[in-house]
This record gives sequence, C-alpha cells and structure tokens, in this order.
Amino acid sequence: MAFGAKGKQIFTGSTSGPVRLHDASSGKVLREIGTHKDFVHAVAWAPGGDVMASGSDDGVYKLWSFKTGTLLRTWTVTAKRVAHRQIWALVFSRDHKTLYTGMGDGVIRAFSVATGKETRRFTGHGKRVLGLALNAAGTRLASGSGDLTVRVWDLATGKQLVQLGGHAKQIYAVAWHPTEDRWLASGSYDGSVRLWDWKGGVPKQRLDVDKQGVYGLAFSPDGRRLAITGGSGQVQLHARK
Amino acid sequence: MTRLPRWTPLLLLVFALPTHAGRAIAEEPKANPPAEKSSAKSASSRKAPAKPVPAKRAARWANYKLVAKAFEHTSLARCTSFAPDGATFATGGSDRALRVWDSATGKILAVHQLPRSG
Repeated sequence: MAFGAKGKQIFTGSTSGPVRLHDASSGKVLREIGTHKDFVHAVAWAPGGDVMASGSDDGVYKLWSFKTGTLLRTWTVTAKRVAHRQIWALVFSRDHKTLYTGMGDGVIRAFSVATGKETRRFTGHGKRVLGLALNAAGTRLASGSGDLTVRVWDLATGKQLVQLGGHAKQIYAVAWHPTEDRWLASGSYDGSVRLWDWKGGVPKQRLDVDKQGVYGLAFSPDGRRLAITGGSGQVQLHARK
Repeated sequence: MTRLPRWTPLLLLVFALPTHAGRAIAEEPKANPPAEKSSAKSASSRKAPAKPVPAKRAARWANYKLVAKAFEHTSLARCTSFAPDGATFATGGSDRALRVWDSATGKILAVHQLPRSG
C-alpha cells in the first residue's frame, strides 16, 4: 500500500477487467487494485485526488481509494440494450466531488462521488459518448460521440453551448487545451485530429494521423505538445512553438 | 454498426501525482490576469495595466507540427496521457503493453508488457 506516495503512478483498466496501478517511469505494475466483470473502457483519477474511478461495459461504476486501495463505492446503470450500458469515458470535476461519464446511450451523466447518485444529465448526443474533457477552469465539458459531433456543455447550467461537426467517423477522444480555453482537439476514427476554436465553431487545424483511426489524444500540461495514438499502433507527438 | 472490436487490453490510462492537487483550486475565478501571474506583484507588472488578450496572441493559432512518430505498439494504441510534470507521456495499447515516452523527443523510454491473460 502506497499511502501518501509522492511518486507518479498510472492507473489503467483492461479488457479482462482488472484495474491496476503502474510505476510511471518503468510502466511496471505496482498494484492490482481490483477488478470488473467486464471490459473496462474508462478510468479516471482526479489530479491530486485520492479517488480513482473505473467503468465497465456492464454499466458498473467503481470508485477506489488510492491510499487504502479499497473499493469505496460501486453502482450500476442499467439499460435494456447491452450497448447502452457501456461506460466509455470518465472525468472528475476539479473539486473531485462529481464524476462525469459518457455512456453507450449517448447520455452524459454527473454522479456525486460521495453518494454515487446521479445528479445531472446532459442529453443531446444521438449516439454513444466516447470521449470527455474538462476545461482548465473546470467550468465546461467537451464530449465526442459516435454521432460525429463534438459538443461543449456549460456545467453551471447544464446547457449545450456549441456543436462542432466535420468528422466523418465516431470521435473517440477529445482534449481541452490547458491554457487556451478556446482550443479544443478531437480525434476520430476517420483518422484525423481536428483543432477547433470551439467558441467560434471553427476548425482551425487538421492533422491526418492514422488511416486506422485516432483513439487517444492528450495535450501536455503546458499545451505545447500533443500526443496522439492510432489504430495502427502508431504514436505521434506534435508540438507548437 | 459502430461496434468496437474486442481488442483493447490496456484502456484508458490516467496519470496521477498526489502532489498535483491544487492546480485548479489555485485558479481564481476570472480575476484579471491568470492566477500564475498574480504572484508576481512586482512594480514592473503593475506598470502595465492588464490588457485583454492581444489579437496577435489570439491569432497565433495552434499550428501543431509533427515531432516524431513511432510504431512500437504492435496493435491498436488506445489511449495516452501526459505526466503532470510534462516530461513524459504514456500510451496503452491492445498489444497489452504500456509504453512511456519522452515528451521532448518522442523517443521511447520504457515498456511494460502485461502477460497474455489477466
């Protein structure tokens, strides 16, 4: 048990269900925290927080404590269609009190970390919500979906602010620029990454990355670098001055 | 007809650093300049009144350019995340490998291969 550990660790989920902590420099598994009974598509760990979240294809959410390594809470969202139960994306609010989730039914849900109760819904996406990202201030949420749109939501009102279209296939990942609030990146199965001025609703740059699709996307903390992963196994690093 | 193949061992990964806590909390809700600069209350910074973001800066749009690409993952690379210090980033793939990369060069630093099952 790594109580109060200062080192960086990586929390992962996997197809067979286990969720693990890895050493961030070697990648080695430090701990297996627990397991799900189904495919884990999404995990989250609030920066600096103790609580880690994981979600699986059977609609089961689990919250884990980093310090104690124990399961804090679990709850299930049921749906008639199996595909609608799938949990695709998880992100914690900046105060760590809320967990935002993207599911197979196209609904974005907010859950209270303390109780596991659903506190809000963001509806509009016509297909599953595959990617979520919070802006630096924690006031807005971006979502990428199988309905080929990226949407931006105001977390105070629950309203959709903007809808961005252009991708030809489902959007697996979205990333919010850490310092420029207007900049949003989306990665799609169409093989491209698009950088948006979301406020203006304008695509600003397109990177053609991988013919087999883009699955992962992240900005570095200073926003100068962009890491992209693709369906061919490719990893690309981009930078700006 | 948007079903994912049943691949993907290592799925989403998230970096966490217990000391990375107060970043968001430290950000004042829309006071004039960003919180980072408010610490520098030197005379020089007081001279220049807080201006809105200059048009020039706003216009300096993204324009990301490729630094490096690598094909270390032998199948689909599902997810990526940067370490909080920005020095490295990690990727997870359906080849059941977790890879750690150098953010400056895009060179691989470490690989951890999970066994086939589990």
